[in-house]
Amino acid sequence: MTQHPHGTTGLIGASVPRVEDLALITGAGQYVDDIQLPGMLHMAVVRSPYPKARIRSIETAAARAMPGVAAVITSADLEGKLNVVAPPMFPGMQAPPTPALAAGMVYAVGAPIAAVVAATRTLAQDAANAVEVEYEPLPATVDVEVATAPGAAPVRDELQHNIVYTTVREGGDVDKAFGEAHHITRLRIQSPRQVVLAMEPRGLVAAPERPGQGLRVWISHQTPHLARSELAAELGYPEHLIHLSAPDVGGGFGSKSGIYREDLLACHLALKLDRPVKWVATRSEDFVATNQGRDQLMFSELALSQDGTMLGLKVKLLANMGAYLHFATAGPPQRMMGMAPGCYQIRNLRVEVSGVFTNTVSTGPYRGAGRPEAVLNIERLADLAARELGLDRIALRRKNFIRPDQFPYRTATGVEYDSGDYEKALDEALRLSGYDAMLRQRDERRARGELVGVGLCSFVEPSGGAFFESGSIRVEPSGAVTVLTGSSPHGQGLETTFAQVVGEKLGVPMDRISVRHGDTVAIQQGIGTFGSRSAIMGGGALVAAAEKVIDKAKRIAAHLLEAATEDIVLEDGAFAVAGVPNKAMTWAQISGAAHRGRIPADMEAGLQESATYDPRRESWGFGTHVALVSIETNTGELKIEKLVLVDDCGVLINPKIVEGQIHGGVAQGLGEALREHMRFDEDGQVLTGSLMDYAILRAADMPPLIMGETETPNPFNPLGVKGVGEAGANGAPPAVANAVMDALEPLGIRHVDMPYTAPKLWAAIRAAQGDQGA
Amino acid sequence: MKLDGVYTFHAPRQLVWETVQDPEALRRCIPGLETFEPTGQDEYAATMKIGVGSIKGSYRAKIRIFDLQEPEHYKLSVEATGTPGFVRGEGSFDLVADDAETTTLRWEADAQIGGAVAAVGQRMLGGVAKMTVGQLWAALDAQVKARQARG
Amino acid sequence: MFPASFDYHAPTTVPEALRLLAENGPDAKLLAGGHSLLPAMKLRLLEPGCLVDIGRIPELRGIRREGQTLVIGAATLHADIATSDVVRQAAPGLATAASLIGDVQVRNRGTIGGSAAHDDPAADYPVILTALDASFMLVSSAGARTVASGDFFLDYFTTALSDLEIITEVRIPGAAASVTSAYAKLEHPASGFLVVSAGVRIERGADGRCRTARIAIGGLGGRPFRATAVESALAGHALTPAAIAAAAALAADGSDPDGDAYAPAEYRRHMATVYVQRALEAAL
Ligand SMILES: Cc1cc2nc3c(=O)[nH]c(=O)nc-3n(C[C@H](O)[C@H](O)[C@H](O)COP(=O)(O)OP(=O)(O)OC[C@H]3O[C@@H](n4cnc5c(N)ncnc54)[C@H](O)[C@@H]3O)c2cc1C
Repeated sequence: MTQHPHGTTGLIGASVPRVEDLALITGAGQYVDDIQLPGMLHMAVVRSPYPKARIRSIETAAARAMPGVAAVITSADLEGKLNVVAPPMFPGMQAPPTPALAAGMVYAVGAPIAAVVAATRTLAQDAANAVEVEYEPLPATVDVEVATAPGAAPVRDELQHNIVYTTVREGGDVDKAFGEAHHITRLRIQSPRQVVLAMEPRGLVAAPERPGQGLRVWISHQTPHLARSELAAELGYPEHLIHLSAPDVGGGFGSKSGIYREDLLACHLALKLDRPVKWVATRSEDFVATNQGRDQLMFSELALSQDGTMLGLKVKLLANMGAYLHFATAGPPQRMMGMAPGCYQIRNLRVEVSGVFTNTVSTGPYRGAGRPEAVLNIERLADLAARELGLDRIALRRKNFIRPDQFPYRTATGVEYDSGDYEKALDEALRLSGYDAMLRQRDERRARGELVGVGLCSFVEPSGGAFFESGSIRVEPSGAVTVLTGSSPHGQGLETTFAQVVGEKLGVPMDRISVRHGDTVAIQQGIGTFGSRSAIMGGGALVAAAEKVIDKAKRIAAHLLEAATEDIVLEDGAFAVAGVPNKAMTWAQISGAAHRGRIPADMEAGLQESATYDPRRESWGFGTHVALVSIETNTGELKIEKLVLVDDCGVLINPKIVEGQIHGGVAQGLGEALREHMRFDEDGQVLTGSLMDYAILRAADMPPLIMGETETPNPFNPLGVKGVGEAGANGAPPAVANAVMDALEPLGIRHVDMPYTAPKLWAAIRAAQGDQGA
Repeated sequence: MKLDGVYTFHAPRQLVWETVQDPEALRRCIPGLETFEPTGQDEYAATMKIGVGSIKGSYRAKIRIFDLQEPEHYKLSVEATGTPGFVRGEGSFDLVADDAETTTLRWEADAQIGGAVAAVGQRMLGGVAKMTVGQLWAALDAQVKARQARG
Repeated sequence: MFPASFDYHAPTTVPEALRLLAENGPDAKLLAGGHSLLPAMKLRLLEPGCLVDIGRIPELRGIRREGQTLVIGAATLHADIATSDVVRQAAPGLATAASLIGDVQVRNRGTIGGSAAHDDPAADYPVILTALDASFMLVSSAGARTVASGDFFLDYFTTALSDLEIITEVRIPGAAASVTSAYAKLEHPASGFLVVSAGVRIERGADGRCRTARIAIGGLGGRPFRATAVESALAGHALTPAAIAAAAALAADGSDPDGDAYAPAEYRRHMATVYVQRALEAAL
């Protein structure tokens, strides 16, 4: 059984066990696939095995004739309707709609061509296999440099060129800075494409409500209200008639935002057939039908003075977006705009970001969503700059850090960092890692011929900021509390975190609080969970709602106690006239009164308040990660011997949950650093389309983590919090990359892109030894 | 996926040429072929089982022979589609008469494989493709020998 | 994914299983642990209309010694082989190989006969069984025959087994005190199957020198690669570290591996030398 502290003070800051876990780990969770409805049909999707092809014909008669098949549809049945439409984030952005079923042409492996619904999943799959599609394969474009070369063939027929958008931001005088530079460090980095691989694949159940009166949707999703809005627009169905909820969601990591083609198809078919329709992706489908992450190609130049001062930075980024844009596909590379300089004062900046179409699976946000790439870029540059100038990499970082007294700090391109103390986190990481001793050991082992490296990464992690968030607090007549949050979680433990916040504010024990989320009828409005936002945004909204509830409760207490409202205090979960604690009124008494008319005549009945929160700025967490690695010369095998993580996310509401978030982020980050890489061959065929070939990091691959923290409260948030959900994925990979490159430095190797698989490192070592005549 | 290789037939070039151009010989030699119907000049529709050992899928295929330069060069393309995905390839074949009784066949092919097979079978597609080609030559060799024996 | 529908039979004797195979023709497949067959069916790479489950035939299961020969029933689980004292003593390399297959669940379902019949080029048993000079007892309604591993594993997923035969036993000769074996494996980071592996069997003379060595390497092609260069370099020599290293360096001689997206051919060849050396060191 979970235990909750029954006290209420000190809830914020306590490592309360997650209230969610008992149900989830005993199999009592309710996921989309657990939903069974009478008369429910199952959908299967016929997908393109080609990255680019003209569809010559689709033969569905055999499939239609199979037993249990309720419908088989192709684009001809949709008459041009049912398209996923990516919001145009920038003027002039090329965002052709994505038809739910390919109309004439397919542009990526996995593109849906026909949808089949049948009485069971197996029958649906059998029928889907019986659909015969004849293709005329066409040459595909998979590489962003090829796609953007002059005269490149368009990835889709309707495109003029293959650039989704280009945005440029410049601050200071970049040309002057480069003109005056003593040295310029140049670097080309390709961040590997990663598959998101939430444990629960995407899926939904769509069910018509009373004819013509509504559509009920359960969907595995991170942002239920946004999902409903997009669904309404793309289905052409009234938003207010859609009741959508996200039940338990088994991970999303950014991929379960926005609406996908299968979502539209299942809803469309449910309405058309007047039957519930379920679709849950198989793991193989998830490899080609769900947004993937990273895959950014970055070209950078860092201008430095002789003493290592960073004078200017130019970054040009080509982000591979795949062939079809979903809701958030265009977003991640935009992170470079704000984050390019990282922790450093670089007053002259030029950042150019282009999204690029290719005939590959769509990309989109994945834990970090552009942050890991930006951190990797600047931190590899910092190390290389130190190496090329013959300076100590720590000294170089210290020299250029934004100083604590400079906050709020406005970067050269106009982004404001709220607060920070980067040296403090760096010092703590150096202390925890025993950095100097580690360097000595490294040198001793090197002298014995071992390949050993130490690397570090200091990073910033912007979080929260986009959209608003909602929170409601309803004190029930019994005094128990129902909390409604718009920050619909998918594994983050928000039921626990938010109960801690509300419990502390109201003075109500956690076992008297339930946190509800994910339902567009129960929750008035809201956004969801992504971008490390929920503690900041959802927490902020709940603090505001708590203040309103307390205000009203005080007025009721004053009325009942015949005192002035200003004299009422809330202490230990009860309201009393200051100095007269023996006549205190409990939440039950106050709420009972509120619901039974014992309130001032001009007051509304009930005790429930809602608030929204929108700080209109992001929070900038930070930290330093340090890695010690060794590489076996003979096999290329990489071992992370030590990984030290110091993170600063402001105030910790629940340190254990924060730790869990960092662990998870590190695991996904190390996946990127060590082995995960979604690959396509030059024809556009998937090379790593299953867990047989795509090497997701496993529990046994995790090195022990040494964790520390510094706490720099966010001055702009009522809880003092900053985001932390993505910290591990941001900081750990560059620390490992820098350590690996440090290990390979004696061989004269300058840069190798992640992931550092054994064959890749072995080949790099071999080539370098050949060069050195070894 | 690019593949190439060399196979030596102990037979005169003209005989090898006639064998590799003979639809009946092809029908017998293409591994896994089940039906094989001409649909036009040097064009065939086929159903075939493609795969290795016990892992074989059924495919509908179009086979086309073109760019014929008797007796030394031809090209062959296969487009096969089935539940497990597709196999497409185009091969270029050159017959060189080493002497009156020996013919070397040099071939180059570019193959694309997609769908479930490709998604799970990456680690051995190259090897399996080579093996399948090997089977083809061995079978053709037998046909060549049979023809020689018939005189 | 979901397999296509199929009929299911669970015979309890070998003759009954053979009859079911014959009656159902090429549409029938034997089902042992299902850990290769069912994934292929779920992906619709295979759609057999009929499965004959041999998991309930007692005579196919078990480990015993017949004099100097170790005899393992075809339906014996990987887990039982990995933990068997008899196997550990008679053929330690086989126990090691079994213990490195997949994970606990796989080892508790998968069988040695299933793995041998499936003949995945990245499976462990074909490699160690080749090194151990094992042979297979194949039974059909026409009778029984014994096929040596060298003639059994032919190419990718291709063995000497016919559709109407059942492997009943795996027989491993020479379980004498002078014989030892070992297995070393480089795992693929995603699948856990081998990228490269080495199985070695060493027979020593009374003087402690190597009398004969049999070495098989996985990951260099469609069938286990016999490292004959290493074998002859070791035969008749004292097994010093230097001799082992020098011999192991010849491991890939004569091989022509195909690379894949993860491990290029050159890497495989080099790993062959590394893992043959490791296996030899482990054997001593
Ligand atoms: C997650 C996972 C990881 C794995 N990792 C590894 C690994 O690291 N190394 C490794 O070697 N293997 C690995 N395997 C494969 C595993 O060892 C299988 O169990 C084995 O390959 C097949 O044995 P089975 O008993 O499951 O056979 P099945 O799947 O039941 O059958 C396989 C084939 O053999 C035939 N067959 C079965 N028994 C007989 C018999 N007695 N006579 C004739 N034909 C027969 C069947 O008809 C079928 O064609 C892994 C499998 C999984 C699912």
